[in-house]
Amino acid sequence: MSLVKYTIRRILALIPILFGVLFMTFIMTRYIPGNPFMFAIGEHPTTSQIKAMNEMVERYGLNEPILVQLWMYVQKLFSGNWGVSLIIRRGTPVWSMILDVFPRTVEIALLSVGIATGIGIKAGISSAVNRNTRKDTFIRFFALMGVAIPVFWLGMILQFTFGYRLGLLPSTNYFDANLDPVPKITHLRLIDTLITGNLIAFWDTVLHLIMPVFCLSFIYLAGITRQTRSSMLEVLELDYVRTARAKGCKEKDVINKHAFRNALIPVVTVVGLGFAGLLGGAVLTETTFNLNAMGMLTIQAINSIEYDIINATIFIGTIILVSANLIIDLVYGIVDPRIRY
Amino acid sequence: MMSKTLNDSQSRKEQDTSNKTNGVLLDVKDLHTYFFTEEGIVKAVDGVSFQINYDEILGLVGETGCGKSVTALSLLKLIRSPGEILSGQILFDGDDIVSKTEDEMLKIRGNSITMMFQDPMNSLNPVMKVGDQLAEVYLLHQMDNLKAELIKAREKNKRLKENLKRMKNELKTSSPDGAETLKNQIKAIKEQIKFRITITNMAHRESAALLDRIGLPNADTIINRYPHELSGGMRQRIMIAMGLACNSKLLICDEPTTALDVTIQAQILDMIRELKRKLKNSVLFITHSLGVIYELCDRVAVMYSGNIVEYGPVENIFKKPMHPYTKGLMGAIPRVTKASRESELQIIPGMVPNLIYPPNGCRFHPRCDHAMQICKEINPPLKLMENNVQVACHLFDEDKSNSTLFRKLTFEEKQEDVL
Repeated sequence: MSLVKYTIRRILALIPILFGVLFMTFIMTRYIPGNPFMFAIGEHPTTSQIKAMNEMVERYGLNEPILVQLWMYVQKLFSGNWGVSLIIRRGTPVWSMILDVFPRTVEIALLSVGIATGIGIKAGISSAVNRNTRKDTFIRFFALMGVAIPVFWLGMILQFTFGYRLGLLPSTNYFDANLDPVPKITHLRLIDTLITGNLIAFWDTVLHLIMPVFCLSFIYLAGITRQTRSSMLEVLELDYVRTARAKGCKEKDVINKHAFRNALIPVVTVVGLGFAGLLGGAVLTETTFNLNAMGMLTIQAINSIEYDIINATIFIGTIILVSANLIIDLVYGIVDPRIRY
Repeated sequence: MMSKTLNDSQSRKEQDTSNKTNGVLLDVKDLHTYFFTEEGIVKAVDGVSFQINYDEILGLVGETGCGKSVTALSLLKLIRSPGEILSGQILFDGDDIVSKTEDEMLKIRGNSITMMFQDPMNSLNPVMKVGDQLAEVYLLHQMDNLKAELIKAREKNKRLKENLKRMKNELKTSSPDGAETLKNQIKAIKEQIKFRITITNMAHRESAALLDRIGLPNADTIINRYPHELSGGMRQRIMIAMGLACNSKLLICDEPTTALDVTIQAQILDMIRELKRKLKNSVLFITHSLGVIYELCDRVAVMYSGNIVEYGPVENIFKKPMHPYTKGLMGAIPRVTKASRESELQIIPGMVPNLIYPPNGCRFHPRCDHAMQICKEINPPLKLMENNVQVACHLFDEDKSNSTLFRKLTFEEKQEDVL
């Protein structure tokens, strides 16, 4: 019962945070000199362009005082209208633009974090158990590489090797645009293609995703492996692990049953925050592979100061981050019974 | 407090041990356990020999870092890298433990030799229910027993189900008066019937019964608790219960009372003594409290810096300690008498030696009041004295004619070996 109360209290506490972030981004974007149309018409506009720009500014209410604009924006937001794109795809509702790209981000994030967590935890445990052996050194070498290598560089090397030289994998885009469009049921392309039985499109998407997912999971793998290793090493030295051994537990059970769960808490944090970070958009990877997901949309919006899109993406990013934190805190309670709410 | 089952196992044990009375259960011969660290080789246990007889409590006493716990861990082959049992024999019931493989050790650990650790706060897994941790011992070592119990329980369940069916049929034909009582009976039976009985249920049942036997109230609710929800004394009792689950022949208690307050200490000691009396098993009791040793043990081994320096019946050693170190330990016990209030407490000068570079010869000589030249050169072996006590000290050498060897050392000479 206290868990439910705690969750409700935490969710209520999120409201001021979300409003704070919303207001801050709103006001900060409006303080960028100029306006989106000014960027669109370039450095040497003609008189008619300036006239058109002023008309647009008038139409979208950009010359009103900031607080009035903020009030209008909040009103719009609560009636479910997230604004429209002014430049990038003029007239398209922001909401539908996000609906286009966000599922891609979810797909990439789920795959990368899933792979990274699965392999990372295994590798971390095996590295801790075989401490200071050749296996441990090998795993640590790769983990350190994952931390050190910049993701865009890794992406470019992969593109060069597998895309350009060997020609095995497509090096850009999310899917082949020449294929028939796939009906959007869940908006996750891999699942949609499977549901409709369009195996060609499915395989095409898989091929497109291999390299970006590899890049992202390699980076996250490194963090998860290192965290698992260090917290496993700590737990393996503790008294209750010795008790388990003295009971006659097999070493496998000592590690999986007794030590691992105790070592899990820091790993949960790394995985959770990593996942939240990826959902907010993986700017570098997306740009390298031209994936056109959340990160790219955010960057495009910032480059052409698309007020509504910037606000929307940052707002969504905030929601994801704070809910990830909440979920992590709740998972702590499941993993470790000593944590009570 | 102790119920039928303990007495059963007691009589069973009596039969086993009756023909082996006064036999040796555990015989440790010249055990060397070293740790190969980066700073050097830590000679934690350096040539330790002792025996534990059937139905006996041997106390192992010494300062922190003298190798007591390492000796105990060696008995279970729980020495982890960089540690290693270099040489020596550990004969347990005639079998050499040192030469056993890991798989064979799994059957011994927690089964015929159990170990109870100091600090019950940290020795139980914080994320596992107490019942699960206890049940694990049964699941590991008493599978056959559990399987038999499981079959019994399932048969009982089946009978109950049949009864239920029969009663339901009766209900249809019975008179309205009888129907009421029948309905109540059906309700009672329904509560007893379990949907599914697994081997884990059996292990849990056994665990609860065990906790009940060692006198923990509400055992059924305790097994569903986590360690942090229990008090220190309760946790230590659960550790003890873990040690008792398999009626082990040898129970190693590694400072089981150190982290507890005196009231609980007394209770735990009473409990160990009581159980030992009923179960007739042997106990190796490690502590640095001489008082506890005197209370509990039959014989005592005094350890100093990886060696046993004095070893024999508790009464004799306490009456007349011979080794200077033992004397020092005894002298350091505060006594409440008029004289002691006026005089200062006796202390042993100096520090416990570094086990990487222990002093040559007798390791105690830099701190010893009687140190002689020979103490610097030769580490004295254990020597049997008249009252059944073994002592490792050159003071008791018979031939002291060599005056250069038996010259007393000055303070500076004693400190030469100390790093």
